[in-house]
Amino acid sequence: MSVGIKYSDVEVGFELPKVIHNYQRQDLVNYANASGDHNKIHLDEKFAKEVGLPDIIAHGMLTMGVASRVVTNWVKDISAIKSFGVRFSAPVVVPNDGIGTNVEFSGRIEEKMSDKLVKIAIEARCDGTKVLGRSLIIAQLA
Amino acid sequence: MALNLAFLNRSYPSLETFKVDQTKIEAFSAAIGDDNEYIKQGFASPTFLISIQMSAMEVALFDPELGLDYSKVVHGEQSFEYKKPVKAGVELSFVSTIEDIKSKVGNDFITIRSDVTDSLGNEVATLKATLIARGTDK
Repeated sequence: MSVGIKYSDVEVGFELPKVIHNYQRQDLVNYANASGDHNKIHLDEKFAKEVGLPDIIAHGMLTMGVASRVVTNWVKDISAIKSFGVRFSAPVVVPNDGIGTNVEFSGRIEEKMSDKLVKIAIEARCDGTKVLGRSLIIAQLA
Repeated sequence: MALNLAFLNRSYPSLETFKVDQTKIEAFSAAIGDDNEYIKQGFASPTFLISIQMSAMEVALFDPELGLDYSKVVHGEQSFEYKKPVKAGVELSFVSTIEDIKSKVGNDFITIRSDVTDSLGNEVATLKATLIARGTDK
């Protein structure tokens, strides 16, 4: 299925190229518009603080979307992606400081399965804290 | 306030189909920074369907009888299972089912499964979203 990456060329423990993503307030506005999720905890600082958050937090689904790039940038072929699941374990807080917040995404082949499928564990860290838990993509290689 | 358990297993077929177009595919991929070649070829990023699942779920989530305080909602878990890639031009139908409802230490949890099919009835994907309404007992 996949264009480039061969199942026989990878082993358990193989590390995919990292993705580092910078989140700024405008990125959350863009994601809200593209996804239709206008929950104010992602857009309105006063509201976010009123409901007990430290500041505006990024959409979990924005983080999940960026996390998918670890695998899609690597396999290139969208039809290779068979499943993707995450738990959102910690928020990504995005201050209005013009610097934003960096999250580092990495991926590692955890298991080689039948039918040329591989299970890839994705890790997303913000200042050392894991923001995704149990984040797994199953992809079918060539 | 605990959620209304009578909503468990209720199913909500989408009242209209959702047409996927290239503009929406590109806006979504730009928002997550996905610049892979398949976008230009009309294929959507892996998590694109969330933008439709959100509106497909609204009819259930905003029903006042469910008792969900949407202002307190954060996303707990999300999963996608893909049968075929989503391409510009397809019309998708969603059937969303409330699969689980529970309360734990003052937080309310609701899990919604959405089964997505195209206009020919082919399975496209299954999505599961678990939402958490934080501390609504306080």
